[in-house]
Amino acid sequence: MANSFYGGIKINKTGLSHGLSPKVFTPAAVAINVAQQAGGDTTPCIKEGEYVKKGQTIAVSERLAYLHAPVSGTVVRLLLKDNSHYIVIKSDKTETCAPAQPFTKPVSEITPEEITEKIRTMGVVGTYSNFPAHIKIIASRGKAFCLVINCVQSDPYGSFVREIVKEHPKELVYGARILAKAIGVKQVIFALENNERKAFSALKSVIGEKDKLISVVRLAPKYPLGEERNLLCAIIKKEVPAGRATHDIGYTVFSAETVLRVYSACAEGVPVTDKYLTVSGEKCASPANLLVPLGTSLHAITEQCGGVPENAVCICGSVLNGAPADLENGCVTKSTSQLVITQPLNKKSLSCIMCGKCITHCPMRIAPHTFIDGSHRPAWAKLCDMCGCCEYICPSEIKLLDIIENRKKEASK
Amino acid sequence: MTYTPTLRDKTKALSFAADRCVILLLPIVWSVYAYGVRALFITLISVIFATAFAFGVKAVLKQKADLFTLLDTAVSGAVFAFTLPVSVPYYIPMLGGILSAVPSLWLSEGRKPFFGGFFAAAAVRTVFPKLLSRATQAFMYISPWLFNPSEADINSFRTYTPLQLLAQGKVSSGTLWDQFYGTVSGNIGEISFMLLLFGCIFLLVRKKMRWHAPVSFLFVLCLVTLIFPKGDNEAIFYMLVSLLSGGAMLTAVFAFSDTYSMPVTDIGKVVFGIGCAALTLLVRYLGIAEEGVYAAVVIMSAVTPVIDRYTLPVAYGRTKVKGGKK
Repeated sequence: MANSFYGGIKINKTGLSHGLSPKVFTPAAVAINVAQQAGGDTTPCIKEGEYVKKGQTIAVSERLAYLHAPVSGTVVRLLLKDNSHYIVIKSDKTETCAPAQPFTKPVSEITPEEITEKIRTMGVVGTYSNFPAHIKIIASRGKAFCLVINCVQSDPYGSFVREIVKEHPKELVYGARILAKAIGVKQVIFALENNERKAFSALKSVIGEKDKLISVVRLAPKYPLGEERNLLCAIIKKEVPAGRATHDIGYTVFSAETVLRVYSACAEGVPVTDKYLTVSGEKCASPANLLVPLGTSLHAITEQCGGVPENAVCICGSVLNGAPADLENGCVTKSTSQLVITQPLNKKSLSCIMCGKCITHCPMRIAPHTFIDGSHRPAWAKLCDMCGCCEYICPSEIKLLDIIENRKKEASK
Repeated sequence: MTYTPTLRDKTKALSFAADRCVILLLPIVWSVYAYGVRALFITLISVIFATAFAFGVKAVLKQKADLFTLLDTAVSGAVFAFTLPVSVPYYIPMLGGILSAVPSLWLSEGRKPFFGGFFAAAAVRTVFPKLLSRATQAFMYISPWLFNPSEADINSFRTYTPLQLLAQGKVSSGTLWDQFYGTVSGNIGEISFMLLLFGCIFLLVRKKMRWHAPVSFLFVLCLVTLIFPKGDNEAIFYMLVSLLSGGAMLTAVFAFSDTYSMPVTDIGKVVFGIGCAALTLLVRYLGIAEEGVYAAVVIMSAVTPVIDRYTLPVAYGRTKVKGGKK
């Protein structure tokens, strides 16, 4: 099949929040998790009781990306105990911004190293993985020859990415050029789902016909197309060898939101202080795409969108593989991208009927049913990226994700 | 962390068994039209004995009765009845019905070693080969109230099925269209190729069966019979009779939609289909019985765990390791 990958599932999109432009939401207080980045902890560089401006650096690290104050106000508490590493800031509602720190030189004179350092100090991390962007840039420098911008959101409820593409095509293309310079690639591909006509025409109008660097590809929408290994499979028909990163085959994948952050960091000098996210679901009273400051409590966001009814459950992440959100203590991090308020399915699972559907739908081409009795190959446990296709398609409603998670733990012991 | 999926595909396990039950109805109606009420009685006896046995054992073992087992044993019992000629004494469907429910006893453990209907058919055919080859003409009705029709009762309309004639190397009278529609003599559920084909298409469209096993099975069956015709038949005629009469299509529909006794991967299903065809042809060419498909399916089901082990999919990124090390 053209422009697609093995397996996956086609879900008729419910489209609850589609076409809604992101709204800005301002909470009364925020709690920023200091240890939110993949790969380590950051050290707070402020004191309790100090007044911070929006965009001011509040936590630093030698290797990782910085954290910045998402609102202006007073630092109420620094919680740095066993499992809670939080900076709590009470907003003064004035949104006083710290001065922007754009490059003082013209763009053509900036070196890739300067861009990378800027991206780090402006706190740019991956949209879904929470992995610092600058580490990925350095890792793919010299190896990758093509940058793929992932504008795909294959989850049935997610929709903020296409809104970003529709509203900020210029910024995205500019950000892509900066990122291409930082990594040193000769080709940039924007990957879109082929049902996103408006986003496609918006991008096309900015790029122009004769651009040798940037091109746009449209792919058949299928879950989980947004996962980078599947995305590459769909674009270039190449697979990433097991245990290797995408830049080993010459490609590096950045999400649209990250590219937008790279633009604001390098061109405007504005750090990452907020996060786009989608609140949606069957039981959600008013689905919306929101632009919320980091550290906003998840409870405040669900209240804004009509609250969680009694018989409903709030899922943080994809509707197919997400876990229930911690509404009481949970806060928005740089990788919170979706909240789904929907009805839980607590049906009893039956025994496997050996229909083989999980095998034909698994994008990683492993046999999920073998995990049930533990007859799987050991390498498969590592390969599974928990997309949830097998569990969605299973006619016996077996909780395959839980089973695979347990098998992974057993293997790592 | 516990995952909480809130979105699921609407296809449920029960619908796999239910869809197979639905397509049973067409051959049953046709068998009543072609062979009278006796055909219905044979089917009902087999189904009742199969389900009663399965639930009797469940009651003894104090297991909970479930609808999936009921539907599954009903299919097994009915398919066993489909493999019988209408002249059989009623104790055959009783015995076969019980036998056909035996593999379903493992369902509570989540597996089923054989397809019950064919398991019973293979077993009963081994024990009563003569009784099960007494074919009678279609549209000549035997009284449903005869428990054990004697030779004298059916002598006036004894005939041979096209497949039996084929085994003797003779040409059957009647057109191929008769065999396609099902107006020739044969086993009660197998005579109408057309209705079984409808059932097959129904299952394929509803995605309750993969196309791999039926297609590879029928393809190999057709190819070999086309190359090596037997007796004084023309090659194309021999091929079409092998395909249209006998249990080939019944296998393609009911045995290959039984998910438990088949390999789980697509490649495994192709191997399974080819294996079934090869064993069937072995019996048809060299064996003494004219029909070998039931035993073939049972034997292939027995080696299914082995097929499953060697046809596991090649995982993502495992195929091009050399090309990736640039």
